[in-house]
Amino acid sequence: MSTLDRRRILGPANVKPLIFGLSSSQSKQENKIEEEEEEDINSQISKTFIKTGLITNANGSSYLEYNGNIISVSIYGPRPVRGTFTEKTSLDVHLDDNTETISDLLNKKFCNYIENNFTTVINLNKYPKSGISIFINVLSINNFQKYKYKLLSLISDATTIALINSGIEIIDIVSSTFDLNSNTVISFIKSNEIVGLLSDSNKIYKDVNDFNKIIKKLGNDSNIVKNSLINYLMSGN
Amino acid sequence: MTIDIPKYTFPGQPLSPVYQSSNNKSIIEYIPGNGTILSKINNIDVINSTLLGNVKVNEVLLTDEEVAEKTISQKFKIEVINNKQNEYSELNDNGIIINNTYLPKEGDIVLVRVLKISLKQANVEIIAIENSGNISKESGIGMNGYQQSNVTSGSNGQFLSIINNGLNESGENFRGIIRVQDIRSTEKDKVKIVESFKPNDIIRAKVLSIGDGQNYYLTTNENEFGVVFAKSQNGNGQLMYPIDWQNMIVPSTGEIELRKCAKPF
Repeated sequence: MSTLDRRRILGPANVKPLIFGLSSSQSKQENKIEEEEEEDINSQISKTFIKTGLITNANGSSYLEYNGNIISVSIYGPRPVRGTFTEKTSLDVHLDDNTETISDLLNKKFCNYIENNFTTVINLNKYPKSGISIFINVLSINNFQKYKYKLLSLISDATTIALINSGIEIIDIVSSTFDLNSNTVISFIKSNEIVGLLSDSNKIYKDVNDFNKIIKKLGNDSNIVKNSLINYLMSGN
Repeated sequence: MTIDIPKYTFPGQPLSPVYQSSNNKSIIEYIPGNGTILSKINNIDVINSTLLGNVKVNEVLLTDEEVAEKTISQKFKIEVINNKQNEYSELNDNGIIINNTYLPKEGDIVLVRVLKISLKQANVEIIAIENSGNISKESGIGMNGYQQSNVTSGSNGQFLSIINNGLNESGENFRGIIRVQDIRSTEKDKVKIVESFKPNDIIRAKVLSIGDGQNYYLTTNENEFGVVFAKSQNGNGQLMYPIDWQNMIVPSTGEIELRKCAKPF
């Protein structure tokens, strides 16, 4: 967004926004998450709340709540970029953490993950000379130390829904799933193509088969996630 | 056997293979339009959706060569019209919610506002594309609700208001250039920018090319293109109406100013 605001619509730069609801320390809740539930993707989906189009200034937006994690994603663009001619649109991702839990390094890691996921999926050639901005707002986090990549998979799903809401052309729905034992998040398109993978496991895999099992399990889960996302989208008609 | 094309679709859904044979063994070809992409499933060319929305299938007339070859009997274009469920979405004539992420292409007709003029060209910002709505959403800075304000009055006031309008306040819109040789199709060497456009005029123009990094290149060298809305006295006067192809008049005062007028519709 341009910082040029000579008509003072945005107010002074050092203004502090009104904050309603929980303070940052209160929102760092650590509800007990049943580990069995982490294995059961269907029960997780039934506990998830999604809403789109809440932020009317943005081209598209989504709001996602699951088990103490609250994420809001807004998409701005395609909008003009200044400078040299570009045939394809450029993507930039910003993550804003209201709970002040996510370190700068992880913030960057998450942004890169989302950017890589979606540059492969957005039909970039449709939007020459322009840029698309993705703004992610993390409003609440549940047990970040253990479930940080769970949060990332939720962010990725919320971004997919926001992009669809914005009317930006994407070649397929990205669905992300998380495995607690190996602390891995994988994003899939077209039922089995991997577009993103991030793993932070402490244990060393015995062999490739071990990892293959995880990919297979998450692949199955991602199909279930994808189906429920499609159900949500189609029910809006 | 033919495959039914779904009426409502989501990104990634296959809509139809490129070639289908109908019952009487003639081959129908489908071509991808807006909101769709060509992809391969098991080495078969398939048209996939890239948007959430309604599917529109329109027949495209065959070219003479295709009729002569007799390989295909009919041709259809598949499009997906984005169905945004948002209170700010606008409806077109057919009641379909139109997509506001569509960018201008070559040959599109656009409505633009003049930002500044020079001897060689007029710099404009693109407001809307005909048949597909506003070019971009305002993001809280009030771009679409743009109102001109006069900071000073008197002899310098007019000049100042031109400068104010010359700068795009939000810097958010796509910009374009209408070069002096693209204003009219005849007597190009006699055309002067000041006798054709003034800052703040609204012009209907056609996209010549998507141009360079900064600007789209636009043209008004047809009868239908030119100034559609203009105010007299550099935007400080009243709304003017065209009386011929190069003059506009304020009905109440009789002031006449020079413009490159669009053919009234």
